[in-house]
Amino acid sequence: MASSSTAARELQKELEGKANDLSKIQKDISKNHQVRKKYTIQLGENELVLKELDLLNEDANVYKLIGPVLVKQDLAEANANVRKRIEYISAELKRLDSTLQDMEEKQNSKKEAIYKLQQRIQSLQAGKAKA
Amino acid sequence: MTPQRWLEGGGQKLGGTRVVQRWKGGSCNFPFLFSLRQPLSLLLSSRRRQLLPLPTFLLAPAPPTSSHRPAPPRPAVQRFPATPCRWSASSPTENDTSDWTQHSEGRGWWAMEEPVKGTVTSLSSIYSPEDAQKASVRVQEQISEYEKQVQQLQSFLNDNTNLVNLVKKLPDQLHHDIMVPFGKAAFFPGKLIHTNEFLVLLGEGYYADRTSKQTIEILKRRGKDLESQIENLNAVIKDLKYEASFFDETATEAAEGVVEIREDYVDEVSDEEEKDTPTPGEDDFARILSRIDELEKEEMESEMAEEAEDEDKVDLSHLLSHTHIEPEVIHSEPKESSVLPISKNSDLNLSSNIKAPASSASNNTLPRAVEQKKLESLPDTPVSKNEVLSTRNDSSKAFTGSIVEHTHNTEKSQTGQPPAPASKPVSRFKMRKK
Repeated sequence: MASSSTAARELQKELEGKANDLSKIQKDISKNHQVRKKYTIQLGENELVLKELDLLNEDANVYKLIGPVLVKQDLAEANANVRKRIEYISAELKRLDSTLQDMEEKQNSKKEAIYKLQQRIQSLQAGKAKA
Repeated sequence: MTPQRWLEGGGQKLGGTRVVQRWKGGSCNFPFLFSLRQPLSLLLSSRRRQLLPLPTFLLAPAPPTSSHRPAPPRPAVQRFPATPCRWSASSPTENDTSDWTQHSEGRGWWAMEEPVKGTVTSLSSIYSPEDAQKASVRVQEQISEYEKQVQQLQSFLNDNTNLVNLVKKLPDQLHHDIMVPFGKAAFFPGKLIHTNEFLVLLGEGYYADRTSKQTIEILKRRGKDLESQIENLNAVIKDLKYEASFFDETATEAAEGVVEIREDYVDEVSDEEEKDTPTPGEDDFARILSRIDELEKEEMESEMAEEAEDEDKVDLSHLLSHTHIEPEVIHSEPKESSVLPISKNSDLNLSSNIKAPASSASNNTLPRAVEQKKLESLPDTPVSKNEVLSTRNDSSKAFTGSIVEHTHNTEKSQTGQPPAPASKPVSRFKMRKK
């Protein structure tokens, strides 16, 4: 009897630990979502800029706001910069996606483990009740 | 004066700087604005200011879809895994509601292992009315959120069109007399010159010198973008509204004590189907498909082989030798022979068909002979079409048909062979299925 109750307590502890892990993972996931949102916004903006830059004439004056300063830039240079930026952001997004997937997998496995634990606890309690 | 000073100095005097400043402040990633070039001062101070800050969320390409979309409303209590339900076996109260939104369509929840045929569950035990209500409220909240976004976008769109009009008008005159804002409260008279020069912010800190017309083009493109975003949001809202109405319905139904009656549909029909699918029908079908593939391959081969007749004959013999042709197989004759006049030679043809199996072991001399005869007899009959004939084969062995070029195949069907030779690839299907 005593052993079963200690076992139950242990299970309970384990369950708590797992639940904590799970919530941590979920937090990470939501963080990931936020970061990704930011990046997608930036990506959209960069694409817009790129579109506009593409539409500009060769001889158009392009400035870049660097800190407080408007610096004149070559159109080609600006174009290249924006492209690079887009590339970087897409790579970053991809990376985030993969980590997100990872985390989701982890989350699922955690959920499963927790579910199993719950079941075990339940069965233990049921056994106790019978006894 | 440093550029910064330059900007600021300009800004204090002329409304335009505020644009730059704000922007720089980083409160918005992508102001929808343009700023007039400094030396040329501006007149649109207050109106312009409103245009500037475009909240970052507006820049998200599309309204959140699957992964971004806020999790579907769920009952407030979070449960861990969805408990698999066994309605009749265990207590119905165990039924987890956490999964319901995913299965909300048509209110079929889970496919359960139901030991008993047909169960009656009151709807409220599955979805408590409160939960449904909560879900509905949540969806409503989402809707209002999106509607707010749409309104905001709409206001941006309006501002944009206003701006377009203004930019259109500006170069109408060489200069404009304006009151230039000075600080927050003060204005002084000024003059707006260089009315056709605009410094337009493209986003990400990039500015470009543009004329009025070019600026208008840019602004119009932005307007279009805004419109499409609004459209997207509206679509999302529509979706959400449906969802909300469904939740409402569920809530009222649950509250009214509607009962859910389920009968095990799986038992009678789908069970059989499930069992069946991997067996005969599906199998046959797969076989047919693979057969067709083979046929096509052979067709290709034969086309290629047409040029080299001799080789082709060897090929044919190969085919015959490992394909085990049943006596009733119609073996429509060799593929190559671009001059084969089978149609006029049904007798010969038949004989070749029948003899083919016999020759399968030996290196089929007979068909070749037949063929040669044919060739001799009517060497110059023109061939009108390439038609594919297939053979019938009981077992699932490799394809035994071959491709024939002939003008008509009606006569062949008179040979009394059970499977009428098909003249089109389609009918092969039918034949197979018999």
